[in-house]
Amino acid sequence: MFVVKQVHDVPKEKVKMLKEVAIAEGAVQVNEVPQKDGKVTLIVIFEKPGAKVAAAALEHGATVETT
Amino acid sequence: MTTNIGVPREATVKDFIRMLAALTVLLVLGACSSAERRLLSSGTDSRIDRVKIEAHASDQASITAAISRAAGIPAEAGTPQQYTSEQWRVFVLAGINYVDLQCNDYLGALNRFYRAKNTTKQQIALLGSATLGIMGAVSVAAQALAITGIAFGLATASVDNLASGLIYELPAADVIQLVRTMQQTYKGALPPGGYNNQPAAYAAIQGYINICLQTSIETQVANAVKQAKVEAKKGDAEANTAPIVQVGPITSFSYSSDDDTKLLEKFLLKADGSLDQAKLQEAVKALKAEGIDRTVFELLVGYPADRQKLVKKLGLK
Repeated sequence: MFVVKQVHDVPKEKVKMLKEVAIAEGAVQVNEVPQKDGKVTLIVIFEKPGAKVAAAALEHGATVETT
Repeated sequence: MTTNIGVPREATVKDFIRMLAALTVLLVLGACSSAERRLLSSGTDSRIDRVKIEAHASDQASITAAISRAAGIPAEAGTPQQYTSEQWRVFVLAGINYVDLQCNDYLGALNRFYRAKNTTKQQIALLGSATLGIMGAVSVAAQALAITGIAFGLATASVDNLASGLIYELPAADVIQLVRTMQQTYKGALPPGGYNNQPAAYAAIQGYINICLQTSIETQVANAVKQAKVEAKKGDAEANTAPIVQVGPITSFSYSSDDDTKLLEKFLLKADGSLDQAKLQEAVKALKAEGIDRTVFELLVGYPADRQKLVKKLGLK
């Protein structure tokens, strides 16, 4: 599942660093939209990691817990 | 006309296409074992796996005995008609454990197939690009280049056709998560006190088997699409932002910073201003240790309370 984080009023000088952090944390897409006041709106799309973790666990022989 | 390497152009292209077709078949067939191909074509068995269980038991009484043994129900417990609710409860769990093994095999095969399919397509595409480059270098006519390009297109389409069907189109990871969630929910929905007769116990195991059937998974995926709740954020003329519409949560907030933001930024950035990946991983671990279900990115732009906890955990003040 994808989750969208929309952050308004980001100072321009912070954009590069924030984009870098978001991508390093697994963001699949980062859009930057300039605002009229000179600041920036960042729209970051993350993918919830649960599915990939489940597949990786299965690949490594994870056992299924029982109730 | 001949190519620069002295071979008639038509023969070269035909031979090449034949070689490509053979290579494609080998790539696809080689990616999965025969057992996996059978498993992928038929999915999990729609009944309790008689081939495996009936290898040890030839009728339902023997199957019951086998599951009873797996459940650790002692022979002194008597016939199934004499089982207590607690014994039927562990009987159902033993049956479910067996189904889990079968389902794991199926999902594992699906996962490997998904990756093999993508790899095969990439290999064909890469091979296509490389060959077109080589042929261009030896000045083959444009017509031959076009035919070769079409051949690679057909090969890629063939891989898609082989893997057609909704379940093969979806990322295996998502299918696995869906099945896991349904299995966990099913286990949680079993009556805590257990059933008190054989038909009900078998029905409970059968219901669990159904979750991992190909048709059931495809139905649940289709239902998920139909019931998908669309989230929306209005566009903002002042901020120049277009509306955002998606299935899944959308969080919208304004950037905020304080002294903790500065400390966190200082921690994450190297002297040259670039991101220190090792420090980022350290921060991610600290977040998990603190039980904060947010990203470092989020804490850099908001959530001051959580940011304060992270800064403290990292020993930055």
